Amino acid sequence: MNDHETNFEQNLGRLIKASCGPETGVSPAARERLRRELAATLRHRLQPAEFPATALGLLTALVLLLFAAWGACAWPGAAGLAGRLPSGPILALVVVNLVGIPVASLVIVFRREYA
Amino acid sequence: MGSDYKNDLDLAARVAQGDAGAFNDFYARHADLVFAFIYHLLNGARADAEEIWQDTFVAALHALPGYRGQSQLSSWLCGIARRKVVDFHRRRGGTREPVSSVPPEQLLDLMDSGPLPDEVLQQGAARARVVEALARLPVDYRHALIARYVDGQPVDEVARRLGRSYKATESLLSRGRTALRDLLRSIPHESYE
Repeated sequence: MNDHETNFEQNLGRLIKASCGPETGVSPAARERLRRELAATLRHRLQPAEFPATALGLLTALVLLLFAAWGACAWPGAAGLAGRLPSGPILALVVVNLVGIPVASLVIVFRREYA
Repeated sequence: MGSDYKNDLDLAARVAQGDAGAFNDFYARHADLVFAFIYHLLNGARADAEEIWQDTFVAALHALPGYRGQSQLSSWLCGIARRKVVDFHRRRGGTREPVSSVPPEQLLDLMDSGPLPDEVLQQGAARARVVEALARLPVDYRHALIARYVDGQPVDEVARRLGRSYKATESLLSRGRTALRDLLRSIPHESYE
């Protein structure tokens, strides 16, 4: 190795050490903060279909309203045949509660899980 | 570390798919180098560097599905970091301290001719240039050079760590230095003005 190479190697070694040495270490607090942030970002990004929970809730509400409207229109005839069954709007309200509350709960749970 | 992935593209794809092990490797491999790059670009402003470091990795994680392996992953991350630093200076609106940096050819001449002056060694721009060049190096060169010069390991210890013979490690270090020299010359000076 000639002097030229020796100078270059020694200087390169000093520069690399100065550039990546202990002085450039990240504080443990920042390291932990970043690790948590990245894990949360990764979880959020991997949320199935990335479908916004608010939109899902609105869609569910719309479907249930349509179902209720259908029930209100269709049920009186069937109720009349059976005689003692509750009227359409009341049945629709029951179904909306039976289906809507669990679905809304699931939406909230999944939203928290992937936030 | 390193043998589980075919290349950076494979690692990036597995992180993007949510592979926890790949995510840990991605973080372990690149976090320190990227921080050093930002830290020097900001002339040692640690608190700001940590904030930009975090922004860089979060942005990278979102952009990872678009990574096509056109450059080393660490180099790609440095590119994101550089843009974050530029944004940071823009937000600060002219509070950036003037950076004096030695042009690449002059830096290499100085490195060839004798001990590097302390004022050059202290320059954030010169140090950031070295980190960026390291980030562009093939991984085995980078690991060898860091083990040798940052950790101060003798060649036989570097060889043991890398699982290579003494001769092969000497050759690896020599090729790594040559590659680094070429990269130091090729990174545009404007990047550090």
